[in-house]
Amino acid sequence: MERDRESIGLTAESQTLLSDIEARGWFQEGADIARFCLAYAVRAGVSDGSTTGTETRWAAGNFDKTGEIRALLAGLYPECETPVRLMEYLVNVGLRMVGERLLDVAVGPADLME
Amino acid sequence: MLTLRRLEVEGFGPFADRQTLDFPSSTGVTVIYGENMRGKTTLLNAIRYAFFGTALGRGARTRRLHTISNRDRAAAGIYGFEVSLTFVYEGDEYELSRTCEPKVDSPSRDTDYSQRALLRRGNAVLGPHEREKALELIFPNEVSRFFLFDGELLQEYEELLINESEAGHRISEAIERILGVPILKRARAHLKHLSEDADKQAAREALKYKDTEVLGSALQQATDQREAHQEEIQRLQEVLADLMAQRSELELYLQANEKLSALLQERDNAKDRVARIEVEDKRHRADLQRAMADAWRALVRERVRDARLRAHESVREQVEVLETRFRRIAIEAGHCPICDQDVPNDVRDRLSGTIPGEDNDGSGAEDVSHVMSRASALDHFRDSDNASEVRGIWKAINGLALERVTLQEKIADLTAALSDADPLRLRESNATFGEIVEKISVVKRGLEGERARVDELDQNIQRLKRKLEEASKAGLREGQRQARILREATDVLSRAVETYKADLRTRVESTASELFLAMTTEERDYAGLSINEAYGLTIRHQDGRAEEARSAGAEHVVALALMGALQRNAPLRGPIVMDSPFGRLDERHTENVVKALPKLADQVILLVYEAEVGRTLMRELLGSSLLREYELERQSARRTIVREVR
Repeated sequence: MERDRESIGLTAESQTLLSDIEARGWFQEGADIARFCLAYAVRAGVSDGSTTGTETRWAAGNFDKTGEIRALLAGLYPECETPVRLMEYLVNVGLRMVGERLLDVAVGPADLME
Repeated sequence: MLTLRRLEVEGFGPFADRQTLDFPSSTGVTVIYGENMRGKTTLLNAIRYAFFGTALGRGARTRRLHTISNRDRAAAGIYGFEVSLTFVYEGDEYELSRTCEPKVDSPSRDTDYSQRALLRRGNAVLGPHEREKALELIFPNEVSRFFLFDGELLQEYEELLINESEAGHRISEAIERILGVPILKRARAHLKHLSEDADKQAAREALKYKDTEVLGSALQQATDQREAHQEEIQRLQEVLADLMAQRSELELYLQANEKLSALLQERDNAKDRVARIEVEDKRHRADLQRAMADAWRALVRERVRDARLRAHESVREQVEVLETRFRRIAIEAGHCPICDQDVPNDVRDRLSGTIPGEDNDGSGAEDVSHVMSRASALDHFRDSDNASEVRGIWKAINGLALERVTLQEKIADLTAALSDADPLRLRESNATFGEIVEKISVVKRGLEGERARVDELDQNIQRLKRKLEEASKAGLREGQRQARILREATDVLSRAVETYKADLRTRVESTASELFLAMTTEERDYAGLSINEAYGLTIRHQDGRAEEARSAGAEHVVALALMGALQRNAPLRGPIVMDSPFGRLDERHTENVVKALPKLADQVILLVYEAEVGRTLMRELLGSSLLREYELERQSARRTIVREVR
């Protein structure tokens, strides 16, 4: 059985995207952006996967203090045995997807939720 | 009687080179034609500058000296100007010249200039003190408005009809000044003072005799008290005059800067709103950040709902599979693995009937546990959809951003429009104006109180004096007689002032009516003008009623009638110099006014542009009263010369 990760990291590209979104002032902190992007990817039906070349940003326990995301992923990705790795993957994919949407300057936070 | 003879200007406004205008000595009208921008108002200002050392701009604002210098000469490095005015007053010929010279090579402010004035009477040059005294006597600044005016100044006379109007009060005082009322008022005040001195003397005399000592002491005390209160009245009057002057000055400044003040207020309001927008934006952004922290739930909500439904369906299915498996064991083994009891045959038969045809006996218990934990995990998801809240907040933020951009553009425009303004002074003036109005009200209340106290003391003094007269010895009677004469003389003069004022008003009303009827086009409907206490004039219809609403043109004609009436009834008489006074008049009124000009004053100098009245028509209307015509001829945008036409 594959060993799960203990922290969530970002690729260099994701880090840039996160900084760009952070600069818009829509979110209070980076972790809020990451959770939002994770959910964005989940909603888009992104399958299980993993990311390489990341640099640690958040300890898994801090990222999901209540365990709600872990439970959510357990419910939505029942075959997944490494939820933190999945979280990291979804965060990075989600950041890319949101970043692409935001290339359109007219898109605001409410548009991302539609 | 003051009559202008010659005006010479050099470097003043568009008059770069020395220009001379000679005014004929006979009674009649001199007309100076000039298109816009040629220097008509500048000539009016040149006369004003010669007498008072100041020039006025729009809204009666004092013009900066630096802006008066001819711009063509200034471009060549020559600054400053000179105005020379020759006039006759009470038979003596005077020459008044005023020069404004730069103190530095490239002046930019008024303080960079020095001014020199020279007044010659006959062959004698008057010293500075004598010069100012003579000018104050010949042409006091306070009454200049009745001699030198334009259409804008004529509009102010409507104020005379408004009670409690400060501007109206100022004009009324100026009217009384030109009519000579202050001389009588000063005489009355002097007699009153002498009468009060006599009262004090009577009290001092009474103290010398035992019989009258007590009365004398009471009288002395009362006169001392009255004097103290009068001194206080004097002090308060000085304070009030000072405050009124400050208020008038501020009023003029604020009136002249009314538009700028409104723009400044508008900019302040816009800045305040931008500041409030910043606060609102900050609050909305905090709300947005709070909402966005939870927004991830809304994104996955639908997926969770679908997954939850599927998970519960799976749980139900897997439970059914498990139940079937246990029934099958019970049927086959005759023993229930759940409750560990044997199963009778009839029950086994009945259970056989509940077994579905196809049975998946596969992973039973393991699958149930898996799907149940999956369903449980999904059940624990806290369902929340704050998309509409985020949308609402974002809409508000966008609305504020749009409003902020609009306001910032407006602020930039207003700042550009206010580039010549002094916002600090405007704000301070507005605040100071309010404070002064409040102080005036306090001082007026104080004055009322003091005057009431003086009236009380006056009555007491009269009572004491009557008693003293009854008890007096022969030695006292002479002093008392003098005091009584002075008091009675004061009363006579008081009544005389009122009678004279009433008589003046009647005369002004009568002359103004005559002039008005000569100038109005409604001479059949109107009976004349009625004058009020403040010298305000109302048009009286033939039916005896006052015309409440009157047009701007009618207002102008009434004001011109007042000008003429004051000229004809004032001890101080002089020329009327009018700058483009026909702006609000129609053709017929204009013609009537031109025809009436010789009746307004002995010497009338009319500055006019030909579109108002053409030369042919002017000659026809004025006939032999038209003494001389000049035209202001354009040399360039910055240069005008004066040419005699006829």
